[in-house]
Amino acid sequence: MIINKVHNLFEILPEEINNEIFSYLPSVDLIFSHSNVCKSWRRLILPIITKQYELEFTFNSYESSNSSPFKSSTKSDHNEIVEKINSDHDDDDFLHSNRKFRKTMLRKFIYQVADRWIEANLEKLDIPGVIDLANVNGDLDEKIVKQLMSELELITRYFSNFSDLKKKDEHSNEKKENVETKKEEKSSSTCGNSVFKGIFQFLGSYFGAPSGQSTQSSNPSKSLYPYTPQKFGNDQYSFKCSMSGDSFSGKTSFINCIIFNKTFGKYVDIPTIGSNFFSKTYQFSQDKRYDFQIWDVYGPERFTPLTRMHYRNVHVVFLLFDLTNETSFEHIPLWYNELKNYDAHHSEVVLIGNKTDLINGRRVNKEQAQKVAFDIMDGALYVETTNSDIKHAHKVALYSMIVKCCIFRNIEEGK
Amino acid sequence: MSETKQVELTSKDKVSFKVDRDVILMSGLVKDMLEEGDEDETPIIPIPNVDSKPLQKVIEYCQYHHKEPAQEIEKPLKGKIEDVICDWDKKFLEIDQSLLIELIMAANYLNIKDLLDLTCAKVASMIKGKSPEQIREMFGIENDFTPEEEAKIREENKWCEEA
Repeated sequence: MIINKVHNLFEILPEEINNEIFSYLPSVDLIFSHSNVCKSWRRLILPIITKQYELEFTFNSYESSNSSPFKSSTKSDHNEIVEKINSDHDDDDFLHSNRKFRKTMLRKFIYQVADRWIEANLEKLDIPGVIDLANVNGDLDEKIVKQLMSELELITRYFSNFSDLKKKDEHSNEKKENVETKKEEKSSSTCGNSVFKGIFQFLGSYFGAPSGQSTQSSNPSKSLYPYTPQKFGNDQYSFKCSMSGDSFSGKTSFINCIIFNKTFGKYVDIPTIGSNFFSKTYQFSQDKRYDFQIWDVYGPERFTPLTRMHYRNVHVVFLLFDLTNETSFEHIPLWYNELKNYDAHHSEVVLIGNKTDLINGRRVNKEQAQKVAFDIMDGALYVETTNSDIKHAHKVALYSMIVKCCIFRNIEEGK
Repeated sequence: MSETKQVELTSKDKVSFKVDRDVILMSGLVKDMLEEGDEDETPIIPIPNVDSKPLQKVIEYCQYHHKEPAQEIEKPLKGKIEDVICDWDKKFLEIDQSLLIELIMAANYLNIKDLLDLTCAKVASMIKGKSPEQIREMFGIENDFTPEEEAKIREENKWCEEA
């Protein structure tokens, strides 16, 4: 009568109930963990993932003009991919889009976490200077903190699934040192009494370096992995970030949101001349700071050497376009190819559709942009923002830091 | 005012429970059965697929929730299930795995949607955020992938920085 030890309850339950259970789970969980448990789970889960894929990447009937070059022939392409997912295909194309899909879903998940993190800290964004995410006001719900922490842990675990991030290279000796010291630091680091202690230890542990060792080791150029955040001093790290996209897509305003916590009026159309450099510091604990350095680039200069300079070894590129301006959207593939041709091919690119506040003038629909991000930009994250509220820009910044941290950590650990 | 009508449910192991008619109307199955016959005296409804223990639990659930409908659980779950359900439900779910499974089966058989949702979400919450190894251990699932298939799975999870 009473089963003492359940043997595989998922075999006892009918299939539709299992499906019901799986429908409560976030897609990243299904993709990265649950579909790898056993064959029967995989069989059950694949259709669910496929459905999400369809929702994500096929066009719904959208009452927009047909003028966009990206609009044509998309539906059938995606149907094909969906069919392939169902039919356990082996060819390279399929594998490629499958990976892209996984990547995209993971990125979305990370963005959600960044989103909630910033939402929980909204009142701090208005304070000029260092944004201190470490000390949380007492009224913040403990539950949210716990959730954020467990989700960050999940993100690292899912990232560790990506096998090619773990390949070895010639710096392996130095890296070993780093890994050892990282462990030391993990155990010894103290983050004060912050509620977010766990999170910051977690983020901080990515770039563990011995407190005594200087960055100028025997060969400084070698010790810095070119795509990892640079380290200044003992507990300060910097991300290099570059803005990109057509003129008047709101790049400078976007930076203003991050740097000066200010929104400009709606129509300040003074183009940036040349380029500008800004830096904003996020503090995650008493002793861990992340400098977010942003290069603001003059839009129309995309074919000059000046722009090229800004893309050398950048960690993150924010590629902006104006949702109310189709031309700026059509230039996205051009911009992206430029980036890939420069030194920026290892950077994390975020496609940003700007000016959601001008809802009536909207010319580019979400599905179109999503598709460009997925097909042309290798599954990059696409977000829609507005510069009339500073929190959006902060979310994107936080997101890109988490992604880079995770990639970096995996490369480190793979050595 | 008429007396509240009662219904007698008989479980698989021949234990009978007397329940208010209003309460047990939460079950789609019982509702259908009651609508077919319209006798005045206490009808006896056999529930041949459910043991007394889970049935007891089901009745408990109905007694509480027939007045206070449960809030819908958001899909997909954010965080743990304990964060989104009411205190009563939390306590209700403090049961062991085998009873939980029987409860799911019972809710499914008796067609009580809210209870089915709650219990399914509970299981989902149990496996959420767990690694494949942890899940296999938790539920005694066998890893039936061949090494080649595992290699294939790993192959799928490539970051492919370059296109």
